[in-house]
Amino acid sequence: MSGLRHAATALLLALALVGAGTASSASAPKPAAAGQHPRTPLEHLVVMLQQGHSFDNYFGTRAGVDGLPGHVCLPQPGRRSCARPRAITGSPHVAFVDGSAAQRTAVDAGRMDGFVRAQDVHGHAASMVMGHYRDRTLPVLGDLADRGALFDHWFSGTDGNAVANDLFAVAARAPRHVVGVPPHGWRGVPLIFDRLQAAGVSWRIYVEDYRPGVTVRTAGPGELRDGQVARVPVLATARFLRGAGLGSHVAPLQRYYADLAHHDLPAVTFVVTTQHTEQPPRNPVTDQPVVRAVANALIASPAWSHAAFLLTYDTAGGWYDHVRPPTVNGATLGLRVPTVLLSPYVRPGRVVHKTYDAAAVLRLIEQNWDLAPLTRRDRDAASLLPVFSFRHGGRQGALIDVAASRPPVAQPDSWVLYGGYLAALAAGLGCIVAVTRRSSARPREST
Amino acid sequence: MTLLDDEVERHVVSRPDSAPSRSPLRLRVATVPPSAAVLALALALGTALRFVRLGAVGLNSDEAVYAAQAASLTGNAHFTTIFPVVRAHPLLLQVLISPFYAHGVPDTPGRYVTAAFGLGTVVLTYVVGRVLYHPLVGALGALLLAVMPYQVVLSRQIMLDGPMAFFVTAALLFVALGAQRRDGRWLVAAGAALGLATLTKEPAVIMLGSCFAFLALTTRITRPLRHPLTGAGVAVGLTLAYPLLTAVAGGGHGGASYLLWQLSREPNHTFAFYFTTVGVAMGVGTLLIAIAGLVAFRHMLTWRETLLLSWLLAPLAYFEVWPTKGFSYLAALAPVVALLAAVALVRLGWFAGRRRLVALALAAGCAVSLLVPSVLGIVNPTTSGLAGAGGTPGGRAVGRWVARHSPADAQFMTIGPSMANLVQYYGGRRADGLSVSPNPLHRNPSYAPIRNADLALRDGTYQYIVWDTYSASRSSHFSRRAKNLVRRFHGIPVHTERTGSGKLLVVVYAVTPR
Repeated sequence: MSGLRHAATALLLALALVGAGTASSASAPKPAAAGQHPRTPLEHLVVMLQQGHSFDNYFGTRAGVDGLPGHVCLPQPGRRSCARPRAITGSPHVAFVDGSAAQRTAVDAGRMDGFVRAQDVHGHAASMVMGHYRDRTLPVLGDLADRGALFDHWFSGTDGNAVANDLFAVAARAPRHVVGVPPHGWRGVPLIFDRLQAAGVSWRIYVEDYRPGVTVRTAGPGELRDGQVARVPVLATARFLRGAGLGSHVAPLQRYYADLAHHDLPAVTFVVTTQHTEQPPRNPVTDQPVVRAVANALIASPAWSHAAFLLTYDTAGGWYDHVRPPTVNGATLGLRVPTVLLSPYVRPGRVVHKTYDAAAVLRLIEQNWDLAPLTRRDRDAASLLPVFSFRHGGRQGALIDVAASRPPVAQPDSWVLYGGYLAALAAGLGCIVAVTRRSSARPREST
Repeated sequence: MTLLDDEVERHVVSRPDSAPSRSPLRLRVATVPPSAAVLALALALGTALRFVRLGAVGLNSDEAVYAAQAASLTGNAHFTTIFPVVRAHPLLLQVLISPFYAHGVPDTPGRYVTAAFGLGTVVLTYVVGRVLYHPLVGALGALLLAVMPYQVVLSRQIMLDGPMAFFVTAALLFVALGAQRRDGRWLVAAGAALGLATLTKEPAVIMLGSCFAFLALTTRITRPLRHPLTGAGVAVGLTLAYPLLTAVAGGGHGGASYLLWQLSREPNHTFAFYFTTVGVAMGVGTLLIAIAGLVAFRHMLTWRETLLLSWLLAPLAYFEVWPTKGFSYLAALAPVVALLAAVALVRLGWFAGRRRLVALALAAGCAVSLLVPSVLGIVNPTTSGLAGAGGTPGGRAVGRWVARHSPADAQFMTIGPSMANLVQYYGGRRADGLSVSPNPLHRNPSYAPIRNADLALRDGTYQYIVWDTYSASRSSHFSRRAKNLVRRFHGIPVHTERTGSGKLLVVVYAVTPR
C-alpha cells in the first residue's frame, strides 16, 4: 500500500514537472532571470542581422579603421581602364552575384582583384562593386559606430551566400553550396535556440513583416531563397514548428517594441528584416531607419542598462573589400562585413581590430549564459567579452541619429541682463526713496 | 478732510463714549480700532492664502517658462539648451528669482517671491485706502483683496502680473499722495514705480494713460508742469531699459518677433471674457457693491473716485480693444475694485441703525464669498473650478517621469505648447506642440512648429507622443491628430497619469516609424 502511495506521489510529481516544462516552453519568454542567470551584467543581447555589404563599402573612408587602400584599381574584363573605388549615395541599382564561387573569383587567391570580374554578368555595371558610401553618407550607421565599438576585421561566417550565412549565424555551421533552404528544411542542425531552450534562457526572433503561416512546410521557392524562411532558420527546422512554442518564439517586429515597453524583452533576441534588408539593389539610406528604430527602442527602454545591441551583416553582398578572408578550422570565411556593438558597457567610438567572425556572437551567448558550444567554430571563436568593460557602471544611452527638432537655443549675455535690470531696479527704488524723503519734510496741505 | 473722513472718524471715535458701562476687559477690546482688527485679519488671511501649500500643484505652462528663463539666466544646464532667456516679456522678476533656480529643477521658490509681492499689494492697498479715505476703508479694501480668488491665484503662481500689480499699486499710492498733498514731486516716484512695473511686464506702461487721465480730469496737481513730465520721463526711461538691454545682450531679434506677433495675433477671447471669467474671480458681489456704491453715493464723488476710476477704466478699455485677452491681465485693477467696494461699504455703514447692520452683513458676506473659493482653490486645486488654480493636471508628474525614463536626447511631440513646456521644464527634453502654427504670424516666436508631423515621425525625430486632457480640451482637432499619429506609428502607452479618482490625465506613447 505504502509502495503504491509512493508511486502515485512520484507520478504526480513527474506530471507536475512535465506540465511546468510544457507551460514554460509555450508561454511568452520572461527576462533572463527566469532561466539560467547570465554570468555577466548583460541580461539582454539583441542581434540584428542585415544583408549584403562589405566593410569597405560602408566604412572604407572612416578614419581610424582598416579602410579602402589609397591606390587600388581593379582590372575590368574587356576594358583597358581599371575600376577605382567611387563614392555612391543611394542604391547601386544592381543585384550583385553573391556566394562561394563569386567570392573565390573576387578574392583571386588572395590578390583581391577579381571583384569586377566576379560580376561580369552585369557588363559595364560590374564596376559598381567598387562603390562605397562615404563616411556620414549613412547617418544611422555612422552614429552607431560613433556610440559603440566598430569591428574592422569581422568576417562573414562562411564564404557562401546569404542563406548559408543566415543559417551559420544561429548554427555555427552551414553548407557552402546552397541556393536556398532545402525543401525539407535544416534537418539535424542544432541551433543556438536548442541550447537556450534547454537552459531555460528566454529567446525570441522578431521578423519584419512576419507572416505566421509561412514556414518551410508551406513556402514557395522564392521564400526558400530569400524570404522569411530563408532568413529565419527556425522556420525551416521541423522541431520548432511543432506545438505552440513557435508562436511565442517567432514574432512580428512590432511586438519587439511592445515587449520593450512592457519590460518583456527576452534574454536573447534576434531581429531579422525581410523588406529593409539593405541587400543590393536596395538603398541603405531608406532601409537603415529600421536599424535606427530597433536600436533606439532598446536604448530608450529600461532594459538598456543591462543590454547589448549587435548589428552585423550576413554577407558582403558582392561589394569590394580589400582584406583577404582568413581560414578557420579549415573553412574559408566570407569577406569582411560591417559590425557594430553598442552597450552601456562598451566604450563609445572604439575601433576593434581583432579578427572576429559570425561565430563570435554564438560564443558570446554561450559564454554569457553558460551554454555548450554548437560546433568547433563557435567553441574556438574569439570572445567578445573583452570588448565590454563591466567594472565600470553602465553609461546612459544616447539615441541614434536623432535630428534636433529645432535649431539650438541662442542665449544672450546674462551679465548684461543682470547688471542692467538690477541697475534699473536700484534707480527706480532710489528715485522713490528720494521723493519720499523730500516730500516727508514738506508740510501737508489741507484738503 | 472729506465728508466721508470726517463722518467715519467721528463715528469710530464716538463709539467708546457711547458704552461707558462696559467691563475693563470689554472696553479694552472695544478700544482696538476696527481698522486695525480688519487689517490684522487681512494680513493673517492674506499670508495664509498665499503661502500655504504652494507646491501642491506643479507649474503651469507660463510659470514653467518664467522659471526656466530665470534658470537659463543663471546658466543652469538643465534649461539653457531648451529655454531661451529672452522671450516675450521683460525680465525683472526673472532676475529677482533666478538665484533660486541656479541648480537642479526646483519649481516652487519663485512662487514664494510672487506670493510676497501679492502680500505687499495687500499692504499697499491698505495704505492707498488710508491715504485716500480712512484707515477702515484701507483695511476693508486690503481684506477684500487678501481673500479675492483672482489675486490669491495670481499671487500663488510665478506670473509677472502679480509683481506688476504691486508696482502699479505703489504708483497709485504715490499719485494719491501727490494729489492729497498737492505735491507734484510724488509723480516722479509714481513714474519710477510705473517704470519698474513695466520692467516686470510691459503692459503696465498703459497706466501712464491712467495717470494723465487723472491729471487732466482734476485740478489736484497742476503746477509746476515739470513734475508730471519728469515722472513720465522716469517711467519711459526705465521702460526703455527693456529693449536696450535686450538688444545689447544679444536677444534683439527675438524681441522684435514678439512685438510683430503680438500686433498681428487674432483675438483669443470675446469681449465678455473680462466681465465673466475675470469678473467672477474678482467676486461678483464685490463688483456689484463697488458699482452700486459709485451710483448710490454719486453725490459724494471727489477726485479720489476720479483717480480710482482712471486707474480702472483706462487699462480695462485698452485690454478690451487689444485682441489678446488673458486671465491675468487685469491684476493691477483688483486693488482698485477692492477699494471701491470697501469705500461703498464704509459709506453705507456710516449711517446709523439698520443700514449699518446691512453694511456689516454685506462686508462679511462679501469677504466670505471671496474666501470660500480661494480656500477651495488651495485645498482642491484641480477640482475647485477656480480658473488658474490647478496648474496643468499631470504635467509635473509626467515631466519627472520623462526625466527618469527617457534618453537625454529623446524628443516629444505634444498636442500643444503648454504640455511641451512642462515636459521641457521638468523632463529636460525637447518637446514641440502639434498645434503651433507654421505661419509665423500665428504663433509665439518661442515655439517651433512641426511642419510635417508625419515626416518627422517617419524620420525618427520624435520618439514619444504625449496626449493630455488639458490640451485636448483646448483643441479637439489637434487631440484627434495626435491620436491618429499614435495609431499610425504604432504608439505603445509607456506611462499614464490619472487623477485620484482614476480619470485619465496624460498618456505618453512610445512611437516607432516602422
